[in-house]
Amino acid sequence: MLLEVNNLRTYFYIERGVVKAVDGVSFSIDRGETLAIVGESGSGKSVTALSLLKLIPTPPGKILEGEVFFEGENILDFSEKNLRKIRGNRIAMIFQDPTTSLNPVFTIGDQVMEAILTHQRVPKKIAREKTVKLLEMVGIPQARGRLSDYPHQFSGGMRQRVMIAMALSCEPDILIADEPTTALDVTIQAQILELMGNLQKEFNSATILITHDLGVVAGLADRILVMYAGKPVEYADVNSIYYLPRHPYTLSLMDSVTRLDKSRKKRLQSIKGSPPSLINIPSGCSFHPRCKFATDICHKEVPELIEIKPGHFTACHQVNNADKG
Amino acid sequence: MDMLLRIENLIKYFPIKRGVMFQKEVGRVHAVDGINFHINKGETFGLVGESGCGKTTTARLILRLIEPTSGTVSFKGENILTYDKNKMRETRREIQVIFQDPFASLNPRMTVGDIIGEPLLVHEVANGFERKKRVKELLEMVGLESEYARHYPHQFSGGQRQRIGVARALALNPKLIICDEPVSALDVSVQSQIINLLAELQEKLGLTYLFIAHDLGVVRHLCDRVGVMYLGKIVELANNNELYNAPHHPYTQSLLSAVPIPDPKKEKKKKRIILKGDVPSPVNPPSGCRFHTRCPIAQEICSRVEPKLREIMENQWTACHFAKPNPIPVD
Amino acid sequence: MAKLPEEFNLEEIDQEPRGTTLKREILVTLRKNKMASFGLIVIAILVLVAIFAPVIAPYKNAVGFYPEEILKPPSVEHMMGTDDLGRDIFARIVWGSRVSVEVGILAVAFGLIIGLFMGALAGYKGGMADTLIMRTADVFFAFPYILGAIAVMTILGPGLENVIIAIGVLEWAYIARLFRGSVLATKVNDYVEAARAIGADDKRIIMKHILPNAITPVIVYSAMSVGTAIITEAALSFLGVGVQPPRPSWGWMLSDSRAFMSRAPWMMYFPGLAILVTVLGFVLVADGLRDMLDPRLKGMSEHVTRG
Repeated sequence: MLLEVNNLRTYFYIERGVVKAVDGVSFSIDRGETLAIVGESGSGKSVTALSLLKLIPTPPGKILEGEVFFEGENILDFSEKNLRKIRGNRIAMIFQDPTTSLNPVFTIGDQVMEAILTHQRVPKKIAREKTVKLLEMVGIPQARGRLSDYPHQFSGGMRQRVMIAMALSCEPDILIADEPTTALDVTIQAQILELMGNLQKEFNSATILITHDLGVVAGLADRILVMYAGKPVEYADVNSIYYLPRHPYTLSLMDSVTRLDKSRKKRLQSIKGSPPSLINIPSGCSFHPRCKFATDICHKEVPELIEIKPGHFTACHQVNNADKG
Repeated sequence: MDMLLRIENLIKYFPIKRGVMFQKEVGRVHAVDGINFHINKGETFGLVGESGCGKTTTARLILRLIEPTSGTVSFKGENILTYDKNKMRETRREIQVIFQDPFASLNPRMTVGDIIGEPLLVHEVANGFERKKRVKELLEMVGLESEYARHYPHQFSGGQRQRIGVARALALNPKLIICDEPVSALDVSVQSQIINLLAELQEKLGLTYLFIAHDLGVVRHLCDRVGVMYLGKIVELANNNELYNAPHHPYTQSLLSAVPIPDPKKEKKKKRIILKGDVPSPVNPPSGCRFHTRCPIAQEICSRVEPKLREIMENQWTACHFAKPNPIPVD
Repeated sequence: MAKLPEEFNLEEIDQEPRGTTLKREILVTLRKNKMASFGLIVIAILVLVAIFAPVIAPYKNAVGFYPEEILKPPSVEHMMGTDDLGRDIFARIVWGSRVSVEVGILAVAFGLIIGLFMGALAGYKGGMADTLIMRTADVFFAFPYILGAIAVMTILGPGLENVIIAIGVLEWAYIARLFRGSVLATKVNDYVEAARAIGADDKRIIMKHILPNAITPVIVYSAMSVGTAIITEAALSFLGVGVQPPRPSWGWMLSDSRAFMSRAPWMMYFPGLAILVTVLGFVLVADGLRDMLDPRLKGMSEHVTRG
């Protein structure tokens, strides 16, 4: 395994209480694979990603427990200095908003070069050539001529391409993409997703894709981790999640999306209520107030994540009981 | 069928000005550039397009929040652009709006009761106890508890806030509601609640919707007819099924093919049309057909002659020189 | 405090209605912040002293000429000593607070009336009105504050009312500029569009939707400028163009003390201290209110972060 995450717990201690942003998340990923972490706002999916590289603002945040094994070593035990050698180099991240992730006062060329020079001892001239190559690779036309342009001269889609070029500058083993296309239009989203897919094949890297969009995930992911209120609720391969979901949350999520391939005017399935506040998570199974199948036990006991089929995990009392009996 | 709203040759150019004291016009944003459509009573008309295509500007023009450069907006057969202040104020009772951002669309310093009751107060249709009663009624109609009237917006989740926005729009019993991206800021599990609510209300109250969205899935689910906008123009306009099953404009086709489907097998089989480049600037829109710079099947004529929106089939209007079902060949 | 990741969803619905009226928000903020509470106490004492001056110290001790009491150091009889005319400094400080409170509040109020109106007009209407108002304001920014005040005072002549007018005339431009910016930022909110779509008129939109949401920076600024106004009055009086004797004013007292700095330093200490503490009080309150405006801190405590 390239990356193995065990029982990760990240809490935030704020004035109003403890925010249990990530509460016992485990997963693993190998080369050439894409893992998607799917969840709604406040599900803890982004904090999970940030925790992997210890990028949690401390205080108020704190990684309470868990292990992140990268090539067999627990990087949570690494010193800040050693972590820096991994961040951006072996494991790179791209974020949702391409408008704020680039520094407006530096040129595009400088920023990509900076990413290269941080981790590689190469002369400036070679870094510059590499920058041109990277920008060409991510599909920026006349890349050489645009090195001295500033971020505001690029469109949103182009900026996201630059971000990807920066992330790829050190040929990382793992690329973590946090909602990489959410801020973009669909035709641009299609461009970026295609690019990401091609690049993954080319580099044989691993991708962790964080998103709320079940459509984006369907075409890209090999395995999916569904999160709700900081906890993993279902973890399985892509086909199982889409065609045989077991957790009531995954199930109703699948039924509640509008889709192009379904004709109209049927009432959508919907989940009552809203995702809970992470500061005031419901007792027992955190989904129980919104769950159609909830019974007494769901109010009282937190369900464990159990392997119900080889490689298919769910955390639901109802499913677990049904499978036992 | 009764026509409720009719838009003819609507144009809105925003001037770009430079200078501090004496401003000079240095250019124009061609936000909406001569669009035509109508909405029948009781139907849901969808207006889709990517950011910057002019769909929200169209909504604001119909609401007369901004004045058009030229064109007409006829509501119940009369051009409301000629109305004076008082007449327009009366008309506003019949045309209401629901906004995209449930966090910015409610005044944080007013209670929910005051927000929903404001239209009643402004139009002096109900006072005191009467108003409170109506607010309660409206809250229940959108699926909220009536005690919520004394709370403030920040105490609610996104979905609940959007319900409050819907209640405010319903307060004056409008005929037409303009929904400007009403679900795109919400979580997936909450989106479906609001979509269902809008559908129920339409059935119960006989409402007409102009539904503006970039999410083609939502529009597919909710709309009777759909107009597709690109750079200030309507490029295709058709009934829901026709548009989704057999788009005649290459832009519509590529837009539809770009939308990911939450189904891994279909998704992996799907041939996607990837458009090159970005949407050009509306300040200097391309000559001829505005889509020609990105169109996979563009020919020489496309950069010279602007295609007119013409009826290709019954109820299917397309603005393309080479309009035919699924015009871009996909292998 | 560090920023929390955006995806947090700290909204809770099942709680007691927790007001967001401006008044409540300000009170809560000030109560929570210790320094601001201290500032509030200072201001409260100042206002009480000004109101109950006749009860605290007889006016006759603050004015007149008492040859046998000249330049007495602090003692049981005169807790802050006496000045070169034998007047009780404590009594003068107490009565001088009236001048400071009047100038501070009335001058800023005067500036607020003009500034808010002009700022709202410029920000809401835009166009020609905006250009005209803001270019006029620029003229006021062109010369230094105290110089401007002196200039206005030489035109109007000395006196308490004129000090108030002079400071108000200078303040309006700052308030107008600040409020205009705030109005511009507020008016693009969807709830303003919603109100227009309902058919609300300009007056209602400004009073109900824009003012309550745009006023907060102005409140902070006003708290600060009450302090500035008090200093300006003191400076003008010190220079002899402000409040006229025999009315006790802290600025005058400082001015009087110059000649006796080494012989009777208490003449300088007490009015100086009075000015310092008063201005500090307003600055602390303003600072506390600023915390309320910081959207990040706001998200952490009283408000909901966006989900």
